[in-house]
Amino acid sequence: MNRKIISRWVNEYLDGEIGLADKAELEARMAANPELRQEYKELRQIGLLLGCVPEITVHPHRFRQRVRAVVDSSERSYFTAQRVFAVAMLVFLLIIGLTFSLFIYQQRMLGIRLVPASTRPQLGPTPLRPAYNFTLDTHVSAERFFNRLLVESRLGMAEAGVLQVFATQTQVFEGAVCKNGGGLNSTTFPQPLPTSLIVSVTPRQARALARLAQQLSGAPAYVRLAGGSSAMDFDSFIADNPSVASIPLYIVFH
Amino acid sequence: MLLAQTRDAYLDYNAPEVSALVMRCQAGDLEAFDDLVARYQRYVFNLIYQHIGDSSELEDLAQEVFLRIYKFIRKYRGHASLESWIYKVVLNCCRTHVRRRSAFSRLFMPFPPAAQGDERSYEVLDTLPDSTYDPAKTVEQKRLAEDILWAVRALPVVYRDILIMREVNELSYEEIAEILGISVGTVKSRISRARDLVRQRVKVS
Repeated sequence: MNRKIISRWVNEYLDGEIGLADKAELEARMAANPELRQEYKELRQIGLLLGCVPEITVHPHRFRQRVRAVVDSSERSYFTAQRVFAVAMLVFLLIIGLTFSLFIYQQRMLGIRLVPASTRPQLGPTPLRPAYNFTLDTHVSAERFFNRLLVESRLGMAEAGVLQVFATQTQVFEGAVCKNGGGLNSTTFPQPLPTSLIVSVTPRQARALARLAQQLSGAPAYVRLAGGSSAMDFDSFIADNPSVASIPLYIVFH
Repeated sequence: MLLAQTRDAYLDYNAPEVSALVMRCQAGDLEAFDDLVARYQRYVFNLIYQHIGDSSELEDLAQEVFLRIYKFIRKYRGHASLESWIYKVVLNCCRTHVRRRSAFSRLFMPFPPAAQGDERSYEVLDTLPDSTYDPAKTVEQKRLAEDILWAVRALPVVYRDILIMREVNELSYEEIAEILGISVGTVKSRISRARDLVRQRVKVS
């Protein structure tokens, strides 16, 4: 017979939980098997001696008084779990409120009013750098763009100070040579022009540059805000933010 | 309706005076809780002593058990006897204590010795059977009992707790299963395994 079953019977026998048929079978086996009998005796003695664990007597009042004192003090304690939780929630809400207020304050200081992307037409598929607040994608080469800008300046059509912006803030005009009496595409640049530029311009200048780009490429020029999440035209921007003196404009050429 | 059901459940498992005591405790009656401590303090001390031995923190542990009882008595729904529920609380406290102690001893800092005499609220009484008047045999039995107790306390916690519940407190398989939240079959197999482990570790002649 399986040793496991015999072992289970011995344990059930010790605990008085064995069935009558199993009990008779086990007793017969123990009578015939001295090893099994010895095992049973040892387990029984272990049980008997374990039952003799020393007992504890408790002083009738001393411990009660101790518990009573602790319970009383916990009842009186200011820092109950509910109070600690309430204070924690208050602090949490305060932090959330302060963070939100700071966000709103920063938005107002920048003078930016976000226009949801869904209300404005999206720019083309050109990937724009999200690190700057205002990005103008010209859709034309830098050479063509600056040639046109120079011509318009000469004719007095450009926005005041636009040319100075590039002359003072960049090196695109250094060494540039004008030929053929200053017609279209008459200026050559000795060095390869950059594919992008960052300049600080007034909103009106930015609008003028956007219009110039639009005239050259035929595509609508919009300004994409930080992260590329929203787009807007400069007319709206100027109308919404009359007090802004200058903005950093990131110009992209092709 | 729920209260009535709960009351019926108490009546199934507890004596009427215990049910009344529990209800008063659940209502926040401190006097009732004081009575509950008086009624069960010896039971709790003995359970803790059986499971972790004589420790400097025996009294602290008993206090922790009663504080937990005070805190959670409202959650006692009477699905088992109050003694079984208290046994569960004691086991949880003992396990937490053992974990804490082993983490503490890893820092090589010994625990302070147990408080003696007047400082403590309890006494440990020897209960070896005195059926024999043979002093030599008594000494031998005492040594053997200590060896067995040592072997039991050295068992993995799942075997130690279950063997003490069965052999010392004489709980039925069903009661053990209820307290530990395991099946009766698992109780049987663990008891069998625990006995085998003790038998292997202690030579009983």
